[in-house]
Amino acid sequence: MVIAVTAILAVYTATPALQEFLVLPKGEAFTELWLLGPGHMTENYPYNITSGQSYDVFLGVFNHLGNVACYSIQVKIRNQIQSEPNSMEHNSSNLPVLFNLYAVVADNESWELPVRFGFDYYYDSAQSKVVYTKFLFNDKVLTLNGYSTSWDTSRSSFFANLIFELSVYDRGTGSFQYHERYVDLKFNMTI
Amino acid sequence: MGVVRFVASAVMAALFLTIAFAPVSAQQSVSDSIATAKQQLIECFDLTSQAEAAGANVSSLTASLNDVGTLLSQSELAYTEGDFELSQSLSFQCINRLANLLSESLQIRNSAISERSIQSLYRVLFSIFGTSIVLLAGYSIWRFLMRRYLQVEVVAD
Repeated sequence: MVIAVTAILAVYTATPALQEFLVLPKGEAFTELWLLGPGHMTENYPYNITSGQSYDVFLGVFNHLGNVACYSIQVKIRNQIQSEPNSMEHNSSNLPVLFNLYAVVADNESWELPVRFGFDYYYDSAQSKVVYTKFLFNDKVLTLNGYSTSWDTSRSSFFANLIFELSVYDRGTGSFQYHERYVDLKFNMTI
Repeated sequence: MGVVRFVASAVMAALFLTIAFAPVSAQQSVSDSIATAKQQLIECFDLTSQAEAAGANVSSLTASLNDVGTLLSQSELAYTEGDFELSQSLSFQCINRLANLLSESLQIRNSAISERSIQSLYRVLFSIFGTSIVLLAGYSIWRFLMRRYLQVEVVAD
């Protein structure tokens, strides 16, 4: 009895010293990436888009990696026939990046960005296409050259897809690597 | 007359080359400053990471780094749009803020590391001391009880 009590107490008092030398296994390391609607809820996402109008959503990241992380979120736009990210094959879209957002997030902390976006576009009746001219993102305007979308018969819309792909800085390679997370918004470009 | 014509032609050619290549060098200079800002952001992130690993609270540092990240995004966007002047100005703002942040994060990291090593030393020393006392006390109690029970057994015999 005395030996057992002594052993338990000894282990208890030795724990702080053992913690300095033992490496305990960490939980699953991952990152949450989310997109919320204008009411900060998972509803009322913009779908029917009008040229020149702006729309609000919230883009967020929660770091569960066990250490501070430097993220890059790449913004891309695609139509129904262009490359899309693939969750099953862990691939990002091979489309050009419109621009990058950078976020440094401590472990178990989140980062959120209110996003106001919009498109300027016109309908090219000769080619039956919606042709984009500008993309508005948080009061910054980006000229879109060569971006257009044709009528998507399966969706019965002029389909557009706004994608946010998450990359994380990898010290091993010294570069940002696709973190196999993306969120997107699908639109009907009304004419 | 021939010399004057030659000099005039040379001056014209020099002017033409300067004008023709000036935007290219300006673009290159902006591109370099964006790359520098990005590199410094990564360096600052590395120091922040080390400070966090040493137990420091890095919330204020990450908030400042996020502000710089926003500026860097805007600088890249301006560059894509061909507004090199704005892009240059934004990237310089990034570099200036990162210079301060680098020294701040270095300081936080160093103080966190030294604080942690002192804490670790105390923790290990107190832990060893406490464990020794527990073991000694346990041994003493065990011996005391053994003697007492052994004596009782002897008396009983």
